[in-house]
Amino acid sequence: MSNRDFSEAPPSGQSSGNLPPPASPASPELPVEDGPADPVTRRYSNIMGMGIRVALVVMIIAYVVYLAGLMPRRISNQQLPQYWKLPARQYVEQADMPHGWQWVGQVRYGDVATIVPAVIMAVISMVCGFSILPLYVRRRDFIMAAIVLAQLAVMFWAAVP
Amino acid sequence: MQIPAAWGRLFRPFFIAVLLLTAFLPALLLPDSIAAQDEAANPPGDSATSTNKTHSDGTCFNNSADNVSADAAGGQQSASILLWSLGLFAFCFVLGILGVMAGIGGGVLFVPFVAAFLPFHMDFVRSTGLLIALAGALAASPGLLKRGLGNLRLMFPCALMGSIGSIIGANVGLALPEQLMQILLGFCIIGVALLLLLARKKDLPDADRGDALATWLGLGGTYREMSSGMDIRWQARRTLPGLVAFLGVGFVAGMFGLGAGWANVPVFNLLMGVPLKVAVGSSVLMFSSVNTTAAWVYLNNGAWLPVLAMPSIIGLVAGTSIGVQLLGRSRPQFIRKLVIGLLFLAAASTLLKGFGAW
Repeated sequence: MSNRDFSEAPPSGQSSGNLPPPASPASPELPVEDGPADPVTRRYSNIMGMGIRVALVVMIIAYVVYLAGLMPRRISNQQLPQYWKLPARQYVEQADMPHGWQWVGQVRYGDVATIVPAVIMAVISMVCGFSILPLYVRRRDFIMAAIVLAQLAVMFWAAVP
Repeated sequence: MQIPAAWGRLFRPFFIAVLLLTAFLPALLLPDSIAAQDEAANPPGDSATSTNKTHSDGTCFNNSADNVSADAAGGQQSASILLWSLGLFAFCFVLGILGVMAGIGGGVLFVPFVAAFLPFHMDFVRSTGLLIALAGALAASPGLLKRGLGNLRLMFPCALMGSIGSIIGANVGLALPEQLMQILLGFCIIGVALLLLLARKKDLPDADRGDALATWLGLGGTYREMSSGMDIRWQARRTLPGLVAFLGVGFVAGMFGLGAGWANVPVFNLLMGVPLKVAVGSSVLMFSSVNTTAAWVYLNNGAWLPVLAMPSIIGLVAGTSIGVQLLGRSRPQFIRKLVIGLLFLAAASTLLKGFGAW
C-alpha cells in the first residue's frame, strides 16, 4: 500500500487536543475520522454528487419543455417583460403566480414546473444532513449530531413559508 | 491515430457544452404557433377559477378574432425569449470559466453585472445568484470532500451561523426598495473587489494551539498536501469570533444573493487559522448549506423567473466545468486582476443605476 493512498489508510484514533508538529511526512496512518475515507464524508459526498446530477438533468428537461411551449403557461411570452421588472411579491400578486409550496398543485404549467429542479437543489443538503445524522449518533458523537440537527432545523425553518 | 491526452480531457466538457446548447434546438425547430395556439386555447391564469381573459393592458384576449395576430406576436416573443436564453447562457458560460480561473465564485460576478445591465428586478437576480452559487457548490463539494479539502466538522457549526444570518439577510433584502438595494449592492461589490485585491492568504497556519471551543467541537484535522506529500495537521482558533463573523457573512450573502467565498475564505484562513486549501474547500461546502436556506426564502416569496434562472444556472455550471479543465493552461493572476477590474466596473454601473443616472 502506497503511503500516498490515504483512501485505504487503516483506521486510527482521532487526534487528541495536544497539537503535534504541523507537518510531517505522509503516513499510512492518516486518521480516517473526518477524512476522505470517513463513512460520514463518503455518504455525504455520494448523495450530494448524485443529487446535483439529477437536478441538472431535470433542469435541462424542464427548460426545454418550457422553451418549446409543450405545456401551458401561466404567463405568456408577451406578458413576461411586464412582469420581470416587478418585485417578487408584486409579481406573485399581479401575475397570479404560486408562492410558498403552492407550486405543487400547479406543476402542470410549464413555467411553474421549472421550479422543480431548483427545489431539488435546495433539498439536496437536507437529505445529506439527514443521511449522516444516524452515523454520528451511532458513533456517539452527540455534539456533531446536535449541530447537524440544528442546521436541519434552520433549513426547515427557511423552507416553510 | 492516437488522440492526445489533453484533447481527451477537453473533449468531455466541450461535449457537455454542445449537448446543453442543443437543448435549445427544439425551441428553434418547433413552430412558434404551437406556443401561440396553446396560449389561445389556455389563456393565462388558473382555468378553474379565472374569468380573466384580458391582457395586463386591458385588451381582450378573444379566441376567434385575435388568433392570427396572437400567433405573430407570440412567435416574435418566443424568438426574443429564446434570444434572452441563449444570451444569458453564453454570458454565464463565460462567467463560469472566468470565475474558476480567477478563484472567484460565479455568483459574485453574476449579480452585479445582471443587476446593472439587464432589466430584471433585483429580487429575481439575487434569487438566481444564490441558486447559481448553490449549483456550483453542490457540483464541486463531492470532489473536494473526496480529496480531503473540505471538512464537515469544521463546516457544520460555521454553516449553522451563516444560515441563520442568510435567512435574516434574505428577508431584509426582499423588504428593501430596489433603488436602495442597487446602491448597497454597489458599495458591497466595491468592498468585495478591495478585499480580493488586498487580502493576503496564508497557505499554512502558524503552529498555534487551538482554543477551548475549537477543541470541544473538534475543529481540527489532518489533510495531505499533494504537492509536498506531507500530512498537515491543523486546529482552528479564535472560534467564537469566527462564528460571529459567519453570521455577518451569511447576512450579506442572503441580502445580496452573492456566494460568500470572498468572505468565507479570509475568515477561515486569516481569522481561524485554517490552512488555505481546507479553507477554500470548506467555504465551497458551506455554500451548499448557507445558500440553501437563503434560496428557500426567495423561492417561498415567488422570486423565481425561469427565463433568467435556468439558462444562467446551466451556463455557469457548464462554464465552470470547462474552466476547471483550462485552469492549468491559464495565467490566474492576470485573469484575477481582470475580473477584479470588471467587478469595479459592475459596482460603478450598479451605483449609477441606483442613483438614477441611467
